[in-house]
Amino acid sequence: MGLLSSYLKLNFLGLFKFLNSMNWFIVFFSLINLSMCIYEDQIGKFDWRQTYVGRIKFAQFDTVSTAKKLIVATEENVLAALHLKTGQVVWRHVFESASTGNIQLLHVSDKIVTVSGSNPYLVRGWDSGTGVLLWEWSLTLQDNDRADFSEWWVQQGLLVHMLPAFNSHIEVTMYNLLTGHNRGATSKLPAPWVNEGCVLTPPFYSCISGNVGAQRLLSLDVTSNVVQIISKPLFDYISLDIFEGNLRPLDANSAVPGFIIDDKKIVLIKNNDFELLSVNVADASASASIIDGSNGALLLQAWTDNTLGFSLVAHNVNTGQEVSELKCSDRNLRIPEAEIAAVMCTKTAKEQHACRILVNGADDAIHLMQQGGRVLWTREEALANVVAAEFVDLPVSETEAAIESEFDQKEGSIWAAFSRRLQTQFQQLQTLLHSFQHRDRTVENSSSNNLVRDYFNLHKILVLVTDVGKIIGMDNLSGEILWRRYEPSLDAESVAVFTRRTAWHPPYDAYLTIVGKHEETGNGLVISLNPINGELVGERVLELDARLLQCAMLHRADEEKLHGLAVLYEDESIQVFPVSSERLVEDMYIYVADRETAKVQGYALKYDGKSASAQKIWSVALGGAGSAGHRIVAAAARSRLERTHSPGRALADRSVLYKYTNPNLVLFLTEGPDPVHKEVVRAVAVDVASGAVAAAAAHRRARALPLAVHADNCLAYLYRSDKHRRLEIATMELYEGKERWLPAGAAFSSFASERAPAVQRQAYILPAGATAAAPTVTERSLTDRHVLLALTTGAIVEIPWAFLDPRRPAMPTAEQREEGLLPYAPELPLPADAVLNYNRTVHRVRALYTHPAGIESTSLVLATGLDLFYTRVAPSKTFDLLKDDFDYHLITIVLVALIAASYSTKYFASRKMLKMAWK
Amino acid sequence: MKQHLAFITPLFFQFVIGIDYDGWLNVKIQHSLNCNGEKYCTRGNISLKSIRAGTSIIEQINFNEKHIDELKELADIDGFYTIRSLVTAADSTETEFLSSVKAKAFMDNGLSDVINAWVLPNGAVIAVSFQVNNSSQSRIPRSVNNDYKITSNFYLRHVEPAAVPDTASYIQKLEREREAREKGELKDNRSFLAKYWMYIVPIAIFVMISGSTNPEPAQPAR
Repeated sequence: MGLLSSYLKLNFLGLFKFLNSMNWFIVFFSLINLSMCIYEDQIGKFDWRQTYVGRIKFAQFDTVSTAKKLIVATEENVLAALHLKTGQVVWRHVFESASTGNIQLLHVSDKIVTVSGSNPYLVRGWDSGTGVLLWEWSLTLQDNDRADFSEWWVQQGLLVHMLPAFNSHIEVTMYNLLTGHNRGATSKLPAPWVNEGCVLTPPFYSCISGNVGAQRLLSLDVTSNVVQIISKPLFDYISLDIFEGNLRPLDANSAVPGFIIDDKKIVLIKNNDFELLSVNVADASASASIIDGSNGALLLQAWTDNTLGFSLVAHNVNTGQEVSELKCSDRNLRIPEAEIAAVMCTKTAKEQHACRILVNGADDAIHLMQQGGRVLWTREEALANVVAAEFVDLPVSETEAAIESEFDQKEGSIWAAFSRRLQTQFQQLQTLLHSFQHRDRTVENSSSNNLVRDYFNLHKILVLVTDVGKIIGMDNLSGEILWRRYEPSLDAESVAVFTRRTAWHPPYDAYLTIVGKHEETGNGLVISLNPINGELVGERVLELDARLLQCAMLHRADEEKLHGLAVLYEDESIQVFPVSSERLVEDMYIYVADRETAKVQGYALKYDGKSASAQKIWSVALGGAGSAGHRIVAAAARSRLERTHSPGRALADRSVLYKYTNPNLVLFLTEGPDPVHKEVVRAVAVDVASGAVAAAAAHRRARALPLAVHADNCLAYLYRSDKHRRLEIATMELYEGKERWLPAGAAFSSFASERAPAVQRQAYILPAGATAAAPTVTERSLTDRHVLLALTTGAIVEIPWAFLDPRRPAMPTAEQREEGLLPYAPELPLPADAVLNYNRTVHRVRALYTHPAGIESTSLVLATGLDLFYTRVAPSKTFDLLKDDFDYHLITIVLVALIAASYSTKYFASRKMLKMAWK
Repeated sequence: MKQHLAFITPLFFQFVIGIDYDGWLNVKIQHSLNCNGEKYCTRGNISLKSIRAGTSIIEQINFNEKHIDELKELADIDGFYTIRSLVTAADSTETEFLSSVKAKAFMDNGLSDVINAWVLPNGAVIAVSFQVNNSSQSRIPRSVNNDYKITSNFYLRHVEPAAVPDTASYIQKLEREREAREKGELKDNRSFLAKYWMYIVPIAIFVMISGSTNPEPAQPAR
C-alpha cells in the first residue's frame, strides 16, 4: 500500500465521516485495501497443501467397510485413514501433541478403537468410513508410576489392559469396549519370571527367564481363566552358547502369536504350546509376520540388504515351501530397516495370492506394495517433521546461459567484442535449428528439462531437511518430490542450510551445504549436494573430528563463485571448506549464543597469511549478572536475502525519518524467573559484530514464545502476558532521527558507530494463539512488509506492518493521518480474508519460510509442520504483474480494430475532401 | 551494644536498597596492553554509588610509550584492542564482559572511547560495551611527559519496562466518542464547497465532458 492509495483512501473516508465514528471506517477500509484475497477459481492456482500423518506407529487394513482403507496411528499422535489406491488421506484426526495425545492402541474391526493419552487414558470408538467419533470413555490407573508399562489390546469385544510388575506378578483388567464397564475385578497372576525383556503377542505374554545356561522360555495366556504357563527350556530352540537374550514379537498384527528369538529362530504359540518354525529368519534385520494364506498360514519376511536392496520372501508355515508369487527382490528399492507394518491377503480365482503389504522404513517413508514387490504408492512421512527449508534458484536454460556469458566478458577491444557477438549469435542460430530438428524428442523429456528458471523467477526448488535425516528436493510450483536422500547419521536437531553457490553462475552448478550433528558422536557433519538433482558434490558427506559451536558462510566467493564454509569448533579453532577459501576470510564476525545460560559471545575471524583463526572479541550476559535460570528463547536476525533500498520514512511535513539499518543487528528474546515479577521476558537487540546493545526492553509477568521477527529496522516478538492471560505482540522500530548519521551511500560499520538509535515501542493484543511467525521478503524491499503468523487454529494470517507499526498514535493529528498512520487500537484485527490458506487448515505449523521472487511485488511462503503449505503473497498487490485473468485476445482485437478503423476513416476522409474540393 | 547496632544499620539499609533496585556498581576495566606476560592487567575502574543516580567516577591509568607501541602494533594488522570488564554490584558476584574496539580507530581518536553499560530493572548488568567516537578528523594521541591520557565517557543505560497494550485509554477514547455522538452531531462549520466538493467536482467534470462531445454543428459546406 503506497502513500498514494492511503491518501486517496483517507479522502474517501471523509465522505462517510458523518455516518459513524472514524475508527471503524479506517479499520474497515484499510482491510479492504490491504488484505489479499483470492477468487474462488484461483483456489489451488498459486498454492498447494500436502497433508501428512507422521511416522507410522500402528497400521491396519480396514477390510470391513466397502471402501477399502488403511487405518494408521502415528508417532505424531494422528489417527488417519489412507486411501488404498492413492495413499491420500481420507480423514484425519490430529490429537494433542503432548503425551495426552499419545496413541497406545489401534484396533480395527467394524469400528476403530483407539486408546490414547497417558494416565488418564481415553478410549474412543470411531466410524471407519467417516472418522466420526462414536463413543468415548476415560480410564485412570491407580498406579501412576507403572502406568507407562501398560499393554492394551482388544479381545472378543473387551478391552484388555495388562500391567506387568517385574519379578512379581501381572495385573490384568478387562473392560467393556463400548461402556468402559469393568467386568469383575483386576486379576493378579503370579509371575515371578516377568522381566523387562518380555514381549506381548496378544493374548500371550512371553519371557526368557532363568539363570544363564538354564534359561527357560515361558509364555502365559493372560486372558484365560485358568493360569496355564507354557514353559520350555530355551536350548530346545536355540543354542545357548551364542544366545544374547533378544526376544521380539512378530510384526503387523500377526495372525498367529509368535516371536523371534535372537533374530534367528521363529517360535509360534499354537494350541498352548510352542512350535519352532522350520523356516529360519532370512536376515538378522528381517521383519516377519504370519498371515492367513489360501493354503494355511504364510510366513512373510522383508528386509533390506546394503547391496541387494529390498527383499521379500514368503513361506508356507506348515510345509516350509516358498511361495513364489509373493517373492520379490529389488536392487533399486532402498527401504532402510524395512518393517512390515500391515498385510492383507485375499485369494483370487486361480488360488493365487493377492496381497497388499505396507512397509515402513527407518526414513519414515511408507510404501504400499502388492505381491511381487510392485510399489503402488509411497508416502514421505518424514515431511511431517521438517526442521529446515531453503528456496534454491533454478539454473537458466542453455541458450540464456550463452547470452549471459557473452555479456559477462567486458574486457577486450571493440573488434573482439564484435567477433564474439557474431560467434555467439551463430551458436544461438545453431541451437535454434537444433531445437527445431529435435522438437519431438524434447517434448518427451520435458519433465526433466523444464527445471529452468522462469521469467519472474517464481519457480524454485525447495530443499527440505527433515528430523529423521531425510533431505528432500521439491518443486515449489507443483509440490512434486524431485529427489530424496536419506542420511541416517544426520542428527537434524539444530541444522543449518547454506546455499553456497546459486545456479546464477553457469557453467558451475548450484551448491548447497547442510551442517548438522552426527547422530552418534555429536561431532559436526557437513553434507554438500547439488540442490537441483540431489547428487553429492564437493565435501560430500564429511564427518568432522570435533563438536561445532557455530558455522557460517564466507561473504566473498572464490573464482568458482563458491562461498566457503567456516566452522568454529568447541576449542575456538576455525576450519574453512574448501581450504583454498581460507584466504578469503576477511572482516568476518560470528556469534555464539548459549541457549541455557543466555550468554552470547562474538568472534572475529581473521586470516593471517597462513591460516584462519578466531578471536573472541566480545561477550554479554543477557540474563544479567548472577541471575540464573535465564535462557534465550529466540534469536532473530535479518534475512540474508533482504536488501534495504529506502533509507527512511517520509513524514507529512516532507521531512524524512531516517531508519537505523544495521545489518548486524540480532534480536534476542530471553525469559527467566524474577524474584518480584515472577517471570520476565527481555528483548535485547545486539549488534553481533561489535557486541553493542542497540535497544532493550523488559516485560514483567510474562513468558516468551519462541517467535521473533526481524526485518529492516522493524522488530516484533510475541509473549504471553501472565497478568492478563493473553498473547501480546510487541513491536519496535529503530530510527536514526531526522538527520542521517552517515552520508548517503556510505557503508555502515558496526565499529564506527557509537550512537544508539531512537526506539519506538508499542504492544498489541493478539486475539489468537500463534505457533510461527515470519516477515515477507521481497527482492528490493520496496513493497510493504507484512508479518505472517501461523495460528493454533490452523490458519496462516497476513498482518500488514501498518497494523503493528509502533508509531500508531492514539489521537492522530491531521499530519499523522496524511502520513497514513492508523489510529492506535490495542487489539489486532485478524479478519478472515487475511487468512492465506483460506479453508485449507494446516496443523501444527512449526515454521514459516519466506523467499523473494524475481518480481518485486511477490514473496514466496512455505509453512512446515505436520502439513506443508506453499503459496505466494503480494503485500502491495501484484502491481508489476498483469491480472491473472487478463484478456489478451480482447485487447489484441480492440487494437487491431482501432488501427483498421483509423486507416479506413483516413481513406474515407481523404475521399470526402476530394469530393468537396470538386464541388 | 550500641556499637553493634551502628554496624548493622548500614547493612540493613543496603538490603532495602537492593529491593528498590538501587545499589552501588563497580566496573574494573582491564586490557591486554603492556601486561608483562599476563593476559589482562588493569586499565582503570568505574564506580557508581547509586545506579539510579547514575553519576560515575572514572579512574584510569595513563598510557605510556610501551602501551602506545603495542597499540600501534595492533593497529598495523588492523587488530582489536580488547577490554575486559569485571562488574560487581551489591547483590551479585563478579561477572566478566568482553568488548573490543579497532585499535586503529582508538588511536585515531586520540585514545577516547564511549563506554555503555546496560542495566536491567533489577540492577544486574547485561552488557558493557566499548565503542569509539566516530569523528571524521583524526586526533593523534598527545603526550604530556610521556603520558597519554585516555578519555572515556561512561553512560549507564537502563533496560526500560516495555510498552503494554494500552486498553484503558482506548476505551476512554471510545467512551468520549460515544458521548459526543449522544450529545448530538458535531457542528460541522466548514463551508459548503469544503463539505461537498467530492460531489461537485465529478458533476462539473461530467458537464464539461458532455459539453465537449457535442461540438457546434459544422459550417455548412459551400
